[in-house]
Amino acid sequence: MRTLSLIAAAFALTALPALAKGPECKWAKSWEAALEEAKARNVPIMVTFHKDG
Amino acid sequence: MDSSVYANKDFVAASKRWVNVYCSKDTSHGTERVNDQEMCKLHSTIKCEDHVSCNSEAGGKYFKGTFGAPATVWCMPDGKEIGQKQGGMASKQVIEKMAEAEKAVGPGLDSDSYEFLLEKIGGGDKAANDGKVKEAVEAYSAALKAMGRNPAAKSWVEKAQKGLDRQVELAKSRIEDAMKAKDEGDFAKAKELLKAIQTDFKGQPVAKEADKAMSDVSAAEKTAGKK
Repeated sequence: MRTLSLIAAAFALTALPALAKGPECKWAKSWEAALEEAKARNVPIMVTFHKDG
Repeated sequence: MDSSVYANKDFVAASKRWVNVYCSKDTSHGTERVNDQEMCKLHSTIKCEDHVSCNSEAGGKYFKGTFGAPATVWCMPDGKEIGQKQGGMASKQVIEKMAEAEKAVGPGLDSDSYEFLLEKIGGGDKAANDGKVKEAVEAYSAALKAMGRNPAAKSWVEKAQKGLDRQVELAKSRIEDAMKAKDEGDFAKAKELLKAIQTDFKGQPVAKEADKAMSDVSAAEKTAGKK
């Protein structure tokens, strides 16, 4: 019983990060791909920078 | 913003109405294995090399000299800047700025509709090239049924309609072949051609033309049998 509980706890710890991830924003794989998709869909582009330039 | 904005469920839902580009030369956050691929640990739908290359390709376009991160730029579909902000933003602010950009651009396709149309029209084209008529007709018809009244999908609906029209033209030419076979007394061939159209185009007007032609073939066969 104790072994089973330990296995269950280990499984929960492994699975938690994946379950906690939640919804994810879809990011373009390249700048060219972003332009191509934005034109095809006729939608704006949001560009976000995350390191001082 | 990585955790406060991009993981926010309202932002994720709204972000389907535009294209998102994440730019960062930093890779110190590391990677995680997703479906046998090393993906960015911060955003597992891209690889770190993707956000590094986006950073080098887009960085120089919107800032002269140095800039403070995080920075957000909202642009037209061709990349022309509409506005920008240096410094953090709440998800609500980003959604508001992007809503302004959407107004400037006009009606557009959300990413779910876009992926649906790519799948259906691409699948229809492939099936047509492979001679899988029924599959092609079903794929084009599904695109037309789901998106026919969506003004943002106009050019895609036209593509689907053209694909379907090509198949219908081929079907009409096969009905003519069936009629020729009937006139030559080859009723089995005529019926085989028409049966395929009835099956492949079920629910389409051309299937009714095949029904009528099938009646003509049956009548001619009956008459021939009496002679």
